[in-house]
Amino acid sequence: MKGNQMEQMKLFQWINMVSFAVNDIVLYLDTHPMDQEAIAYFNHFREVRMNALKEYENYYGPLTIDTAKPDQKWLWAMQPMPWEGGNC
Amino acid sequence: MANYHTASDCGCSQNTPQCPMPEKPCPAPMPGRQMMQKPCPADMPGRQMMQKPCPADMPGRQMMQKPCSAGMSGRQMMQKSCPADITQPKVPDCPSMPGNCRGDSDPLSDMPIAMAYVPWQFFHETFDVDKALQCGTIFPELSKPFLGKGGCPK
Repeated sequence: MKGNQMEQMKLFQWINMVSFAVNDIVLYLDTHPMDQEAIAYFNHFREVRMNALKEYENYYGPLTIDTAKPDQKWLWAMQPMPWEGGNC
Repeated sequence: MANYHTASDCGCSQNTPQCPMPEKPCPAPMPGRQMMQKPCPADMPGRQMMQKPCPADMPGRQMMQKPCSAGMSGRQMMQKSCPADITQPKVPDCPSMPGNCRGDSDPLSDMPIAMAYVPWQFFHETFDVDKALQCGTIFPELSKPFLGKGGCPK
């Protein structure tokens, strides 16, 4: 695996991890809406996740539509599909 | 904080005394776990299939009231117990259930049956995100890998 791909996969894994953390704390907050520690946890990992998604978009193209910002071209549709090795 | 409620109007029968295995079948419908008033067709011919609970249908403690049907008919059947028919409630031996699973070691033994309890969760420590993804939860107390051993809560 090329160095570039290694970096891409590592960042992709990191996004998976922090996305899962956000998902799970959302479930907790659904039943504990006033829990300040949980809210702080959510805010922290939500920001970490958004930064990671933006970084991924910067180097490799958007992973989610939230970070797809078309300039000259609609990169979202031009990336490899998942069955072609793409991650989005 | 416990997130179960024990309001008296909740329908539970935690303060209702259990029927202490009477000599005769209880004449009146009994509250709580004896709500089943299914007549026992095999014991009662004709019009006497009234309000008597069917012992064979009752679980656990109520299985000792089976009347003797041999040579008896009508009301006699409802008052006499047949010693030969009296059987102790049998707890099946479950190889996956060790002895300390039963009785006094059960932390829920004082709770009313047929009620569900979910202890309240508090926010304590969390896994690192890499481990959380592997375990399927960010909370160590919710990480319950399936070990395939069965039996008691581990």
